[in-house]
Amino acid sequence: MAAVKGIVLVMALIFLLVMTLLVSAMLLVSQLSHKAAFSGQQQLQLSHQALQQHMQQIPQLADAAIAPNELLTTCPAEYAAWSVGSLTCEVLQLDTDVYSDNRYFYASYSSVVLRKTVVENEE
Amino acid sequence: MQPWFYLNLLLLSGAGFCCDLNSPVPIEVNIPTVQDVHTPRKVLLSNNVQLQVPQADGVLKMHSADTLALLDEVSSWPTLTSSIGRIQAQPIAIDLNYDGLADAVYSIDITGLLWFVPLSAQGFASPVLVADFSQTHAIFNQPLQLAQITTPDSNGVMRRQIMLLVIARTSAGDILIAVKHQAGQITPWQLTDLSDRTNLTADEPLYGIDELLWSQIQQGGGWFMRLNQRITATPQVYAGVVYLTSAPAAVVNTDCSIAPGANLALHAVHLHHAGLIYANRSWLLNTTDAGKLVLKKNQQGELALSLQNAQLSQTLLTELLAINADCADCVDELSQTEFPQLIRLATFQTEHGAH
Repeated sequence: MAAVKGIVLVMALIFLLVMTLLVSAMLLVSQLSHKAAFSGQQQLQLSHQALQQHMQQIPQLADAAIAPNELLTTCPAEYAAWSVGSLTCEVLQLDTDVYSDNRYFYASYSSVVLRKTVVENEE
Repeated sequence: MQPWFYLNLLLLSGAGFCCDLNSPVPIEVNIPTVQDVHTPRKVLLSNNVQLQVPQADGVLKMHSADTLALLDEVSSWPTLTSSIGRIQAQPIAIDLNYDGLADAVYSIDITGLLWFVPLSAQGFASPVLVADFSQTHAIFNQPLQLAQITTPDSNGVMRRQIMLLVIARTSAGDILIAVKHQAGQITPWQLTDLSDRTNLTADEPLYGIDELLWSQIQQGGGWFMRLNQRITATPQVYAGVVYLTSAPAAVVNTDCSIAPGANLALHAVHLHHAGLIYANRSWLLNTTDAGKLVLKKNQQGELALSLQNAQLSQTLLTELLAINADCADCVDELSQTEFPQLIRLATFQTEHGAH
């Protein structure tokens, strides 16, 4: 009778152990999936923020002091065309990047911009 | 050559003929070196005037800008006689692929044969006839101007073309010709392929250019205007508007200034169809000076069209307008605040260490 009781006790303990393991595993998996889901969201938010900052910086390229990557001898064709030499065209590349506060996440954008300047003199 | 041509030449030898808008020096262009097609080398392109052979057949020569050594020449042209009339008009080079190197040069002989001469590291390639205006019996001895344009085709798709501004001189006055050139063009344009825009219809100032006429101009080779006056400043194109000055041939001096008491006229026409931009296509100016048309910033910081020479700079027009592709007659204000103008060509996400 005592042996039977012992077996029942062992079985109950094993059952409890298995259940504990199962619950722990489920908790871990749910935590991981939450983390994974959150990291994706964070990366998306960071990319959006990086793009916003990148677009805000493009107008600053109008500053003539920023050196161009390439100076075109002829401006690209357009409907409202200009005589050769009356317009200066430069190609600039703007590179910006953003890191998350914990530096685990990173987003970077680049733009190629054409800067057109009228060739004129001060009076 | 036709007797008409010689008659025009004889008549033009009188008043106004000497208002020469050409630069006396050869034009300087960059072409690729033989060893490396990306490395530029400076060359000088000379016509009959700079070569001091004014009475010889048409010739273009290419000299090294550093050593002045002759690199190449075009003296044999794809015509029946292998020769053309002398070249007095200053040619103009074009960079078609925006690599900083000239890909071709446009040149016109005195009888009105307009040539497209491709350039390579070796020199000139075979000339291609773009237009034959010899039936005008005019004298073509003034510099060429060009603008790279996009213009809608019959399907409304914007196509890239070259618009050349050519001045034809006759005893009755100058003709301003705007002729288009497109890669692969086989048949040379003639004046009959271009729309005569000397006079506007009574409706055009009120309702804009006729749709059918606009369509014809788009399909055709361009337009021309008989000014009945002598052009005194090289035409300039600013924001799709062609500006030039003119005066009656009889009052134009050799230096392109005009006789006291006479008035210079300023013309401003639409680059694509020579229509109205401002209230009138031309109006009289209160000046008799010669000079170049330039854009300048005035004291208010606005862009203004000015007549400039070594001694003076006179504002001719403020509140400039720019053409707009939304419709055939659409115009916008050309504001200095728009410049420098930024056009975003591409934006892309860059990844580092991604795999």
